[in-house]
Amino acid sequence: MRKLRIWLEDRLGTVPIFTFLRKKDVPQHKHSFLYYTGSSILLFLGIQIVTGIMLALYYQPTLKEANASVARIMTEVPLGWIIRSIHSWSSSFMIGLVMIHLLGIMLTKAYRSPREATWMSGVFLLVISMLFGFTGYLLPWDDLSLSATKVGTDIPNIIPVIGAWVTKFLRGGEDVTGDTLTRFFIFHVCVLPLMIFFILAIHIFLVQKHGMSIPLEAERKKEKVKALPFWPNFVLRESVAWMVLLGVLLTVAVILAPSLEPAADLMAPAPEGIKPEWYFLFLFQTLKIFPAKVFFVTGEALAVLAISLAMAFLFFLPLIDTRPWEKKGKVITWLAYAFLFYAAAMTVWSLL
Amino acid sequence: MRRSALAFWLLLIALSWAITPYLGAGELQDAPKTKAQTPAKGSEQVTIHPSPKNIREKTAVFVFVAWLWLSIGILIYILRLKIKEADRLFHYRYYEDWENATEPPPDPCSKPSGKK
Repeated sequence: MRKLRIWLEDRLGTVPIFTFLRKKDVPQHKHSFLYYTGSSILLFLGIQIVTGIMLALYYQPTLKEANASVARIMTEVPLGWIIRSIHSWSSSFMIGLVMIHLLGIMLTKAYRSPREATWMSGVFLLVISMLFGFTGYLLPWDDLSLSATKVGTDIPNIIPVIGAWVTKFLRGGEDVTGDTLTRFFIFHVCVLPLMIFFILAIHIFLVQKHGMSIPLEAERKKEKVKALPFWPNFVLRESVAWMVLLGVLLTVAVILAPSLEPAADLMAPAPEGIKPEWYFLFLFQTLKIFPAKVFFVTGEALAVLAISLAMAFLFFLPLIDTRPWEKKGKVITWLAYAFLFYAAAMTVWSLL
Repeated sequence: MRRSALAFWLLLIALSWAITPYLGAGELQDAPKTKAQTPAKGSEQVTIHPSPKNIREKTAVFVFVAWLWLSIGILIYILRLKIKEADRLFHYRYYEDWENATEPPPDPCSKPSGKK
């Protein structure tokens, strides 16, 4: 075993990596729990990949077979329903944790220099995670997912010049059809995974390069923060968090497994109560509350503009808040709380 | 160290044996085998709810969840012991490179900080 390890180390050159991990420290303070969210996202991403591959073995992305193949997964494939349930729930857990992770970084101002690129890659990862959810929602091909996709793919149409082309590209035609399903499947299992791996690699590299941030108070007072070795002390603590999260995921997946609606009918009118996944609800409600027309502009266009500006603000936050570590950045803190309150209120309103 | 590793693996095997009948035999996915086949043209399509349909399946689900949390509890207990051991080694600066050390090692009789 030792000989094999040495042989592998010689070939792969892993010695510097292990030396780095042995010397890596993790700061210990009252916000340390935020460090666990990053690794937990990786755990859920791993679960998504494994369960996704298992589902892809049986899923058929065609108009005729999409819904029927999901039905087969749920009824005929051994433990198929639980695999689908884990896949569905772990995506929700993952996106929830990405949101908590970003919010935590925003509140602790960990995006400031030199971690601007780390933050930006993180926002990219949030967008990709949400796109995973959006493309995956159509795959069971039921009425609700079809209508939600129609609404979702119609949004880019509002953008001047390129909007119509983007909508047509996403749909593979003028309307949501079997071509859209095939495209969404390709995005879901091929394009988006490639993108997430690429950006995740950059993100992890940047996190290792700049190290983990310490609280503003400690930075201001020039205090030395206690640190814990990454290996084995932090990894063991992380494992406890993973165990608990795995337990919660499996329990929820077994008890609250998602159902499957009948196959969508392309000629049927949109059903009542169209709703996207929970993480899109606040955006969905934002689109709904805008009036039909404000002066010469449609309400929908204004809503899309407001959402785009908010996303741009989020992405360029480290370039907007360029103040040094000594500054608390209360405005950003209040903005983060205001956004949290707004998103929660809109989500609840949408569910009512 | 070896004995604890052996105990850990034995425990894991025992737990997996206990869970296997509920997983391997496919007890849990029996539930929705009612009308969930590929819908033929013209036939009525139904919503598939993957919930246990009878008391036997319901029991199987709860037994699975109970076993799951029991094994997680045991694993967390083992991990806590490992964390304590790792923290103690860190406190006594076991991982440090003593050839280049500038400070003397802590008193072996002192206790790790935060512990009475």
